[in-house]
Amino acid sequence: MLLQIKDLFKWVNSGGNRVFLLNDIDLTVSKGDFISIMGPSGSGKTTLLNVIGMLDDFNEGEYTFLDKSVHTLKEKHRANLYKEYIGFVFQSYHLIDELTVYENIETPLLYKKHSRSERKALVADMLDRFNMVGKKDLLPSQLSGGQQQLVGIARALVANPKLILADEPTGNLNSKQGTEIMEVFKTLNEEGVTIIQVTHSEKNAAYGSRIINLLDGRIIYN
Amino acid sequence: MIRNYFKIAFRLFKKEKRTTLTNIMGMALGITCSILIYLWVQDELQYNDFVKNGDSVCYVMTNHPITGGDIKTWATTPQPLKAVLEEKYPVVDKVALLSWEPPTNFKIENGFLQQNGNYASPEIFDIFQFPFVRGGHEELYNKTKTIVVSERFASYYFGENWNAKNIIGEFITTDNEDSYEVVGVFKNLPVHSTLQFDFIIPFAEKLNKNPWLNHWGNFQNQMYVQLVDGISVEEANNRIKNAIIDNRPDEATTEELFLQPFSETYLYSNFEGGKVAGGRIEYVRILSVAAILILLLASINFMNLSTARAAKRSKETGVRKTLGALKANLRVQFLIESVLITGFGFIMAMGIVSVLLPEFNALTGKDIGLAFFTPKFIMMLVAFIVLLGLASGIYPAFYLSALKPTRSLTGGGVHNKNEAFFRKALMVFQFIITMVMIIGATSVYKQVSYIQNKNIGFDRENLVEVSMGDINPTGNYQAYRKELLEKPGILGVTPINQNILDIGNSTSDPEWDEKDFNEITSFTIMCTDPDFLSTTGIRLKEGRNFNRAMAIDTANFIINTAAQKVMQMKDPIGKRLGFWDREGKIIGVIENVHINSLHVPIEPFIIRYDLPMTSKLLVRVEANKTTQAIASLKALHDKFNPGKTFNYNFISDMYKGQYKSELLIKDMVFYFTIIAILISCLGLLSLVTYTTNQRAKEISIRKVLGASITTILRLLSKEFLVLIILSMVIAVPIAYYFIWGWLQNFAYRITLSWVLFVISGAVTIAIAIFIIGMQVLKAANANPIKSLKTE
Repeated sequence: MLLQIKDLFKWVNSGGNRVFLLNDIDLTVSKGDFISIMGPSGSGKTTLLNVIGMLDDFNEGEYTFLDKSVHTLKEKHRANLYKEYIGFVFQSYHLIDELTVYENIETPLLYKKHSRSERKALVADMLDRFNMVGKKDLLPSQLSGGQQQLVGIARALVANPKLILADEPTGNLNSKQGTEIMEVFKTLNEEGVTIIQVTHSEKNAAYGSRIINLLDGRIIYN
Repeated sequence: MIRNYFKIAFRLFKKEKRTTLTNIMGMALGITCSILIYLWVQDELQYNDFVKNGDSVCYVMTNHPITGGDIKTWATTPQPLKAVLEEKYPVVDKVALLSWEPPTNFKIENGFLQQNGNYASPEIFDIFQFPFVRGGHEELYNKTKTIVVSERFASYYFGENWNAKNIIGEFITTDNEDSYEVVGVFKNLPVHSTLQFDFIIPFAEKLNKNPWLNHWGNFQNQMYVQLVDGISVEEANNRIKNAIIDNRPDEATTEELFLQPFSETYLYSNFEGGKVAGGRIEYVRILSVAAILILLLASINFMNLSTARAAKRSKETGVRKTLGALKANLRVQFLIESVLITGFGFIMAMGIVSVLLPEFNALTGKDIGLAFFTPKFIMMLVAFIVLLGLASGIYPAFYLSALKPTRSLTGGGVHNKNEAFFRKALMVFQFIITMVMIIGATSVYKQVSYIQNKNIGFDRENLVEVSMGDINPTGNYQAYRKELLEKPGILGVTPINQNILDIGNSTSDPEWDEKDFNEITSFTIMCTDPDFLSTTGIRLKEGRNFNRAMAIDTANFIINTAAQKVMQMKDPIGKRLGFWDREGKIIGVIENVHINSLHVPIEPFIIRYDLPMTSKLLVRVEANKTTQAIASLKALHDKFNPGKTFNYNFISDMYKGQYKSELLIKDMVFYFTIIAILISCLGLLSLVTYTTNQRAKEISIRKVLGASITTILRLLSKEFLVLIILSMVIAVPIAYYFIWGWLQNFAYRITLSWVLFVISGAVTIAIAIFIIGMQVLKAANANPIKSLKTE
């Protein structure tokens, strides 16, 4: 078991009313899962993903990640956790505009204090794997959307995470590019990486092994 | 990792050239100002710092109580005090007397060499330990007809290669035909010394020529003492305070002594009520504060701009956080950026400083060279730059690193209310500083021009003072006068005994009927002739002028209104007045005339018809004919004083000289205020640019809905104008407080009117409106589709 969420609530107060963003969520994720979170706009998909990624807090409930209870951790330990085990992929790629492809992929390794030669080797592996050796000195603005997302995935993968969280990874891409990206995810999953993705598309969801449907912050069980 | 930070910083700078340049320029201006001020302040503080014995070397001042409980402090002492201090006061180790002397002319092969020097006790060299390169000062003790000269003097007198000659034992002759044997050559005195001389003749020689100096009542000399080791100035002060009172044999007196450490004499030269009351140190302080404020302005600019740009940086912060960056990592990154900006600002500032230094030296009359840039100074500067960078970067760094990744990744969460408030508060603070400086500069300017244009009671333009030389005021002066008045360009001439702008001669001896002898009133005295009033242009209020034909008039007096007041005479004409050797009547009253600086009130003043005492001539020349007039004066001087040098001074130049500090401070405050305005405007400019960018979408929507450009202009300007007006409201009382305090240094000063404040405020607002208007117009004129499409 990789992570477990139990009786989790998240809300905001709006004009005296409590509006639930996440409402009584129970979720267990095992190693090697490929989960797709689906649901209409505003149903809480991204919020759930952020909570899982420890980017966002929650108000009530328990969250255990690799047998550590996240809700009792301090910022530093939490950062250590996701530094170690989690990689993020975003809809709008979120590459650092001022850094080259190579440097973008290298950044997580900087924060993990890898030595220079280690970094070089790991980044080279990634560039090889995604056929981007020739593009390593380009800036994000010089790449197509699909290529940027590939860099995003490479960056998420370079630190060898246990879990990849992807928030609509194909949302900004055309269908051909989208398919490519999903194929990449599929391969990764077959290699043993756990993936949780948020998606609107049934077709993309089908790549996963499990689908979770959200509506108004609640999981709908079929 | 650090390399990565640098890399991203440089790429960012390249990408946002305008913002970066604004930031660097602001910093550079601020740093330039503070370096210049620092150099000036250091130079000022260096004065009199060269003395090895530090505080044990003191200047002896005398306090003279006068009517009304006030005390006047003189920088002079009577000659017999030296022996008394040496013999009866064991806290005093050595005492040196130094005369006040005008420049002396020495005969050289074909003309004269004019040099500054004094008669002094040889102890002066023991106390200050000025080193000798040839001979020494020992012979000064033994023979009175001796002289020691500086290296500079030696090279002028004996030629560049004086070193190769044996000049010890040579004789030097003055234009008075006095010959002195050279017994030593000393190293030129340090530049940063208030004590400056190029030759010293034993004080005993002065006494031989002027035996009257031996009298206790003549406060004529400067006196330096060295205290015994281990005695504090305070303790010594207590011991010797009554040295005159206890030891003057001929009459009871009230003058107390006090010691001022030599190291303080330059910066603390004003005295009130017998105590030190500031001096140049005030300007050192004012400018130091100005330097800090200007740096603060630059630093605030940076903070404002960095937090305003947070929206742009927040995505990067969020991404980095999801990639595992800790807050600490991000803070280091942002701090490195701000240190880099400051560093570039510093490099630019160094460039500006090296270009401006000659101008700055000309302005301040200093000689600050690149010698100042010692490795130690550079190290200090670098440390300071890093500190400044950290100080400016700390807020943005903490602010940016604290942004939550979920919010910053969606681009939201940066329109924080507190943060907007903080930014506005910083801007208000900036404008308060700027406005205080503007009001300050305007007031200083007004006071200084008030001084320059003030009617001081006589026309100081086209008035020349010349030395009398060998002309005998009771002998051939009449012939000289007759001949001079026939020359073109000469309107009038009168003999006087001292500089009309700085009458040091004062006495409490005058006696009149009904004088209250318990009160001591001090009068300044001018000895002159009947031409004094017509030459100076001083008007008689009542009574009559001296009459050359009436021999008795030499015992009569003309007084000023202030004297009439202290003597409490309703109808002074014909009243008895007597002092020194003369007993006579008051024959005239003149208006109050500013004979001393405007820093002090007008003093009671008595004019005597006393030719034997006179030693200088005051000449009224015709405007536009001054060159011709000076030539006539010179020709006549050469005729009456063969072989003597001709010296002249325009009274108007001397008048300016009296307010040297004020004129300097006027210029410095003016330039630094301009820089402060520039920095604040840069800040305002970038903030307005940022705000209009932020609100581009709002502006577009309003335009689509039919808003006119003027409505938009008003909408966007309002927010800034309110802040600027708020700054003004806060700045006015602060400025008023400081300016009022400064003006207290002047007995005659401008009144602070509201007009001055309104004008200063209006100027600021006009500049602000211009800047805001330019930016807002640009935004308002932009095509709305452009900014609506980006969302």
